[in-house]
Amino acid sequence: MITCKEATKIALQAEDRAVPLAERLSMRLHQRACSNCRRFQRQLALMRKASARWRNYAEE
Amino acid sequence: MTATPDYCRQLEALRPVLLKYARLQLRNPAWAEDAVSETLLAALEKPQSFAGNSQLKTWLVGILKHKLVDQIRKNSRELSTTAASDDGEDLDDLLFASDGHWRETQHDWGNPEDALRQTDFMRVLEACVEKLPGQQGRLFMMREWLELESDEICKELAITPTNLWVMLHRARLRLRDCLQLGWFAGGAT
Repeated sequence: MITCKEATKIALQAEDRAVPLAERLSMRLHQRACSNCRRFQRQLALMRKASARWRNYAEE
Repeated sequence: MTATPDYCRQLEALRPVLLKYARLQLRNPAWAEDAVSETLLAALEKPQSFAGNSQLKTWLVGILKHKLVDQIRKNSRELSTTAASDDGEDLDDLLFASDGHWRETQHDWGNPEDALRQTDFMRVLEACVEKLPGQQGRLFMMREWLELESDEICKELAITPTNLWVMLHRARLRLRDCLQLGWFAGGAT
């Protein structure tokens, strides 16, 4: 099983490139077992939504 | 629509907000001034292309985004030479122990909608983006605000994809840290 640090790196890269299937799978497996990394993944999702909202907020 | 005095006043009134975004993107006051001046000049010369069915600000921000990409292109050599010098310290070592585990328990940020509908949250977000080190901030803005694809950014700045991902990795971790401290830890939600 990969470490939290590795899972975090994959999660961050997924924001900016298509992550290979094998890496995505190892990240998902890790997240199943790790609540910290699940929370981190949700934080990233919130940041993604916040960025989108901010872009539009800038243009209101 | 012609360039009436009223139109000119409206343009002038929107100058500060355009400048704010230009500075956030370029991290260079002189280039930001140029991009904003070019934007306002374009708006003055072609007032008829403002259809009036969108807000003036939306239209101007659209022009500004093109002018910002122009500025990035024009200054790409200088940007790529400063690329590695101001990226700040690596957060990874602060966040993770040597065995690769999180040093601290990660926080639940709750329901996104609770935070996102608050104007104050957007202010904190903006302040956190502003605090990113120069090149990290620039790359983050190119990706999230100008909505450029990774390969376009690499091409414009003549950097490798690996370098871009490292910088965005750092920027996103830093931003997350700032949001945690500036918003979620305060119990503002």
